[in-house]
Amino acid sequence: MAKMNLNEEEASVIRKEFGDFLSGNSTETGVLYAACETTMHTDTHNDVHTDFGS
Amino acid sequence: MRIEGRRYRDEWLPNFYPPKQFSDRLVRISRTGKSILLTADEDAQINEFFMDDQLFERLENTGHILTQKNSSKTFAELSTWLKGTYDGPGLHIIVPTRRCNLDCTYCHMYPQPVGASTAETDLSPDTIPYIARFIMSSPRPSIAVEFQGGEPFLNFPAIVQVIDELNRLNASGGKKISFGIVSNLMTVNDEQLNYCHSNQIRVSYSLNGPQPLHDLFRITRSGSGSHAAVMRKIAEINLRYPGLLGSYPLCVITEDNMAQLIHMADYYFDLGFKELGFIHLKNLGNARDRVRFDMREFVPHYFLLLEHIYNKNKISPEACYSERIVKIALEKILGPSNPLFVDWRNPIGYFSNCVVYDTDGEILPVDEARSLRKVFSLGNVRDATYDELIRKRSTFHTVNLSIRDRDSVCRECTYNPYCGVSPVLNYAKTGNFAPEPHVNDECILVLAVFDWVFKKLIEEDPIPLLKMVPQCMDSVLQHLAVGTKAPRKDSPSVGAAGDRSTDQTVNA
Repeated sequence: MAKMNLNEEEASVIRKEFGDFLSGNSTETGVLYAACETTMHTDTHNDVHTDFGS
Repeated sequence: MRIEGRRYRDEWLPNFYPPKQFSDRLVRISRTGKSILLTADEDAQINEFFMDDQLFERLENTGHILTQKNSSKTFAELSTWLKGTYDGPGLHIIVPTRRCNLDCTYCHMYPQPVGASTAETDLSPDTIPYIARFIMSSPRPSIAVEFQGGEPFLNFPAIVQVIDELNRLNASGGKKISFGIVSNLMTVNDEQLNYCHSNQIRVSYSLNGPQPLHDLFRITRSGSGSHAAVMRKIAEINLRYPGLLGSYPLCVITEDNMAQLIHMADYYFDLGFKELGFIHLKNLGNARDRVRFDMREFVPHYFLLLEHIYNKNKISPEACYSERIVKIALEKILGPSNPLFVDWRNPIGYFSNCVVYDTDGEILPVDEARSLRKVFSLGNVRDATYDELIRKRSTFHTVNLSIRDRDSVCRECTYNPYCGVSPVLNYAKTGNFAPEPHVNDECILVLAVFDWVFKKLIEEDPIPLLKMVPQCMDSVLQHLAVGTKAPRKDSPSVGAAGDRSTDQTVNA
């Protein structure tokens, strides 16, 4: 389960990573970019229907 | 006349859709699904004689422009974005019976009474081998089989036979097959639950809010509510078979409950659910002429709900409450692949990614087409093969109509790659197959959701919103905690994600 209680340093790193991501400055070694690339790939390799509850 | 530090229009081709402005930034989305924020000055340069070198490199890096240097990479990213689209159907929906113990007012089928003739309403044993062979014809290495009703547990022998038959055909283990059942939970017995538990079959269910709202819709044929019985069953199953039920229930939204979304969200939150599974009413089956839903009326209520969830995540550091439509929208923005929700893709995954088998073996492109069989039937498993159907242009009639570059308005839409419109639902509502931009329900919803999401991401703190994609946050935090960068996609999976092959289908 994700740790959601971020300290200020963690929050600030994520905000920066996210800003870089959306501005197109993130490289493939960026934390958010690579994390999304990894998790999205592994989470969505099966077809699903929005009518079916997770 | 070329100047160093400038890039000229003979060096690139556009690979983006028109921009949309949020405060002082403009969002542009590429044809490979990547979003980028630009200043007004940067965006203006796209339409000028030359652009700055740094801007060129950013647009080249994200694939918003196609250049000699990035063309191979961008086409690889296009293939990644459309991953699964051309790999064959991975979702196979089987209807064991059209009988149901409930007669929900909003049901998008025409459920038959429990005592109805099984010869007319149930999947027969001799049809099952045909269905199983059809499913196994799909080249997809990973197959999800979902049982829908009626109430599927009323014909449990058919479920067992399907699973046995598929496992027999897959004896070599060539495919990874997972199973799920959509149930109202009310008739399922211990023997059936034990079987599901033993065979790792996940069960999806509905709980339509607190008792007065739930019982407004989910009623027996005599008109009695079902809330109390369902709550008892949920508690019992969760106690005895943890992990068997989906991690959150589904809830249909109509004009009768859309004003109470926040009340309902708090109800689910207080019950311990981490995600909301709201589905808007479909104008099909029982719901036709009995229950109403207007997307334009819904959207303002939906925005209030989303603000409520956002603030919950913002105020409470530990909270990570999510709503599935926004979650999918975020996955589209953040991820390299369009999430494989067959009914929210461009093009839509009808037959190409999803096949439905009715009780008599009739083949349909999606479950919503079940109550419109005369219009959308693609044949029958007894006399049509997978190989025949994928060669017919008519098989992909509904898919073709969902392709958004067909429509001049959609070609000029910022959110084109993130769209997903259903010709089947459009036909059910309007009598026309082709979804009309800004009139079609899914179009209205997509525009509203992405407007809201981008506004939050750009103009406010993104973290309460990013909490709605906990698997991504989890991954980021793990890597921050160990002070390393996240692994590449070909590295071992992060956290539990690798074990969640059908995570979006069933519970984590």
